Amino acid sequence: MTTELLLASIIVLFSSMLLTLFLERKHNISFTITIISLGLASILNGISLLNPPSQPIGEVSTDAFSQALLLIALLDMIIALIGFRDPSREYKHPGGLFLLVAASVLGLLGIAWSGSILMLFASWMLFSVSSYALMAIPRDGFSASGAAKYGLMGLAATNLFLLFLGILVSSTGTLSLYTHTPLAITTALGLMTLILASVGFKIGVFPFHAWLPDAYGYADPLPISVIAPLSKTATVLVLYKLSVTLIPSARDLWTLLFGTMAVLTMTYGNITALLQPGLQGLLAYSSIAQAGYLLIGVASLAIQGGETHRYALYGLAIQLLAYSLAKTGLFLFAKTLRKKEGRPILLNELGGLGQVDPLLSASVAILTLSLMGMPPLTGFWGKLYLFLAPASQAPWLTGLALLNTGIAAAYYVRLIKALYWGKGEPKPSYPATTAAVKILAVLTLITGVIPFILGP
Amino acid sequence: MTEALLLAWLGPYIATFMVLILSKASWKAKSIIAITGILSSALASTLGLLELLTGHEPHLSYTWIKTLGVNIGVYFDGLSTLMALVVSWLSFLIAVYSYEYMRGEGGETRYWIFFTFFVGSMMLLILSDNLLAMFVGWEGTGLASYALIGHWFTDEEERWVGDPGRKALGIPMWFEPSHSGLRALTFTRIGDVGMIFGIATLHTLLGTTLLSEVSKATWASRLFTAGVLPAFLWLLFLGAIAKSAQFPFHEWLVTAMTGPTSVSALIHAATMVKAGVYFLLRFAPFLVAAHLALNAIGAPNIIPSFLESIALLGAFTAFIMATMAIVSRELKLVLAFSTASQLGYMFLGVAAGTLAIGSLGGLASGFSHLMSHAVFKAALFLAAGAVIHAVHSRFIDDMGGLAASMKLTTIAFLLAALSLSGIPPFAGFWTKDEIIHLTAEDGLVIPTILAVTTAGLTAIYTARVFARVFTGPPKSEHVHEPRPAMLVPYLFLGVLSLLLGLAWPILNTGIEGLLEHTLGVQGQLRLTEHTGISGATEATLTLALGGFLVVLYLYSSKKWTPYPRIQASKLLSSLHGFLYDRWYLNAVYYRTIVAGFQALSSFTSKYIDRGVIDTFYHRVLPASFIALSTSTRLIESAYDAILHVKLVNGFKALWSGFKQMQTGRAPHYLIYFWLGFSIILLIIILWVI
Repeated sequence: MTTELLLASIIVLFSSMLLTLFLERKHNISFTITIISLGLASILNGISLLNPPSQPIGEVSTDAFSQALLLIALLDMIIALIGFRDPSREYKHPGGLFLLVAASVLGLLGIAWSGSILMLFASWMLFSVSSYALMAIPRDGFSASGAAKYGLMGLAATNLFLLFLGILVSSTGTLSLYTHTPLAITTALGLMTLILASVGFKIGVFPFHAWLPDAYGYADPLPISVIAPLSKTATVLVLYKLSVTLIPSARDLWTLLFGTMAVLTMTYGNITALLQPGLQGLLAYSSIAQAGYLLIGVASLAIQGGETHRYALYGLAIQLLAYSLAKTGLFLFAKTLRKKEGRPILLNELGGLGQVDPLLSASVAILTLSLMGMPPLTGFWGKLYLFLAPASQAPWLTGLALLNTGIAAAYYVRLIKALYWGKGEPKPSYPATTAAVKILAVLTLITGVIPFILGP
Repeated sequence: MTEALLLAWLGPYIATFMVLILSKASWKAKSIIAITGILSSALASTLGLLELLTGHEPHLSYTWIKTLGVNIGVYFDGLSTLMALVVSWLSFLIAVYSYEYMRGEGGETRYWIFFTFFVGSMMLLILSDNLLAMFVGWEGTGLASYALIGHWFTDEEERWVGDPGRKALGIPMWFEPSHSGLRALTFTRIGDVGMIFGIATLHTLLGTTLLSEVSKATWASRLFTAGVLPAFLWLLFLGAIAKSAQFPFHEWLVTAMTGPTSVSALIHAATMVKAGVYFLLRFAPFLVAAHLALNAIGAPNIIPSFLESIALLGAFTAFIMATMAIVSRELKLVLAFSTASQLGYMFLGVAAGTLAIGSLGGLASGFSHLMSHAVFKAALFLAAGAVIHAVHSRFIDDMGGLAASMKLTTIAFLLAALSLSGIPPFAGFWTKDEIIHLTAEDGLVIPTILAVTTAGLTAIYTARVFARVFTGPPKSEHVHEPRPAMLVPYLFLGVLSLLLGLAWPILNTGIEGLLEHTLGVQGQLRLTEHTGISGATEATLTLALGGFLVVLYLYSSKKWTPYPRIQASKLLSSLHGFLYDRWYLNAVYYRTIVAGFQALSSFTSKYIDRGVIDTFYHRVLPASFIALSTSTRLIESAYDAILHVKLVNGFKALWSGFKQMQTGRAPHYLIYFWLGFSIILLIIILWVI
């Protein structure tokens, strides 16, 4: 049953990729095909979420957590695609946009279903390359430079990733991800540092983050609305999959290392976001900070005892949900105001949107508040469970995280203030995109109820 | 239907409430409601008497305050039944009189509210089976008395008591109704404080204030061993002493004459002032029981000496009030002095009777005089009201020769006056004679002398006032008899006084028989050890008869006017002044007690209230807070600087530092990547090793 589902999903997505490749001129058809394939994939994924397999099957294995993250990503993508409908007409290769989205999703799918090193590596590479290309698709100067920096860093990171995989295989003696071979402490530590660098860079872990503000801050926001959430999801999944092997050998140090990096990341992100003049720059540093919060969840995976593990996983899932919805929405919003091949907009230019399009402003405000962690929106619940997880064993993490949340509130409020208290007449374009933003805001509100129904 | 007995005090209270809510109704309607309420009380009391005559003492009791053991209900034993009868029927008659007397006088609703409230409270007082409910009734009567004395609180001169402009020792000796109301309340309140002390002590010792428990007198030995028994007794009876206007609390009764005459008749002659006597009567059997208990533990003199002191107090009060009556110029004042004097007789009677032959003696002699006094004094006051109404003046100087135009009033007044003077065969003679007889039997020398002398003085002042008002040349015109609603009550009472006297031998036995059914009454017992004095009653009769006839002859036939001759003599005029200003007692009270407290009050107000407390709250406290907030301002500004300047600058510096890391050049980013990775790896490895 399991493998059939996997095969089916792969076939669906791959065929959409192919079709899109050939039907490039027919914009509407490729658009529709991609959406349909994503929808089918979600359904298949939903089925497998309800009956996750318990044992690894050959090279494939998955569990409820991975499937849940996958589902979140798929749903987010569907809505993002709705937002892509109008702006993509202006690109030279709109078909390519859809193809690459499908490819990234395929890569993510692979990561979620991976049970062996090879599968993991292959999927990760598929995903990474797709995302580099995605960022360059709009073909303007900003996007090109951003994609270049992204790709370059990715190159360095992939080096380290290969090194990591090599050492891992030689230490455990197997290609499977689910071994329980004890590793020497130095080996484990080295492996942890390597993986932190190689996959951490993608989400913006300090000090591997340097490309992110330039890429997210200046490139065309349309692809970023897809790349940002998917990258986070992919990284979290990889770390999760590898934690099974690594954690037993270096329990406390895992928490210490990941925790420290989390603190550094989020502090750097939050402080540098405070006075950013540009909208996209603010969102970029916000992404770095959010990466820090997610790392806290990852760090808590090593803590034994009681509710911690469940809270950590639950928190990661909810926070990724909130983050995906919010960042997709906010970057799509950035696209609506940015002129074709123009420069990224400044916060001042947002002024007056509250009067011009109250519904849009309200949606943006909701998404921002969700990122800030305002109850009862989804972002609050995500943060709550993420910070609760280490509270018993590593309260310093919780404390510093809370402090950072406080600092973060400052710049999120700046964004909201710019919407309502500024003066001006911004004209958002692309009706489908604005519609997508509004849908995402509504979803944020609705999903805020989930923790009441479905606990950890 | 034993519950109907509750109407004895509930009926008047219901009438109070109804008059209150029907305040817009006519005078007639309100009067009818009030009179009906009081009539229900009288009928209930009569019903109680009938029950008692069958030999069974009706007792209804409902728990009111469980924790204090306070019940509310009615208890008709011998004493309370007889007392209730006297009070309720007199109240009824006076209520009927009030309907005509108070018509058109203003304050209609107020009058009936407090009148009925008074009757209800008095009945509650009499019929309670525990001290706390009795105290509630006690205080109710005090409130009603205050309100009714000050009924004409607008203080017109015709409502005053005293000579406007006259001063004694620098203190004004004229009193307005509002002032008098306050005096009545204050004087009696002082006594009530003592009474509450006593009641509370009893409650602490016994756990209850039920009279049945108190009658067992277990408290006596306990208080004696604690050494506080005499003090306790004086405190407990202080309320009774003040309420019944005994020396030194007699002053309030005098100025209470500012109230309407019907009120004076009811409250200050016939009923309320008798409450103190009732209290004494109630406790007489308990005191005898206490004496027996103390006898057993070797203290046989405490109760007898207490009773002897009471006797002396009563006799003394009787004497001094009589001396004040012989020089008074206001008709109602003579009667007021007379009331206080006769109350003294009642106190003397209870004390002497108990000493001589035990509680039954005290009960019989005290109650008998109470009853006969109530009848004739009410008659006198009601008639006086009619006279004052007719003549429009309160001074006897403005009256004279009224016998011609107010025949029936004259007859009523004369009958009552003869009873007051103690002339046989009137009721007053029998009762006063009994009291003096018992006093003499006890061998109490000074009280006997005082009582006998007072009897003579009583006859003298009574004859004087009768002669000045009704005989001699007429001083005003257009005087006529009042209407029947006014006339009938006092005419009836005057005649009753004669009839009671004529039937006394039989009546007396009947009363004594009923009184045997009183709570705690024991058999005959002589408490005193002195030998009797003989000749007292004979002397009394001689002085009374002789005094009355001589004075009546002098004033009416000889048209004697002693006043100018008194003014001529220095000795006599100063004696006259001394008596006229009530032995200067009022002046002394005002100069010492009142002035003393005033001084204390103004001192406290000026130095403590304004000087200390006000200064603290309005100067010291605000100043200290201002100083405190000024000093915290220094801390505030430093803290503010940290938060709003230093912290902000810190963040800004951090931000610009971080921002500078983003150079925009990819090679730099790669350097961050590799450098960062290496450093982390190094740190980790060093840590572990």
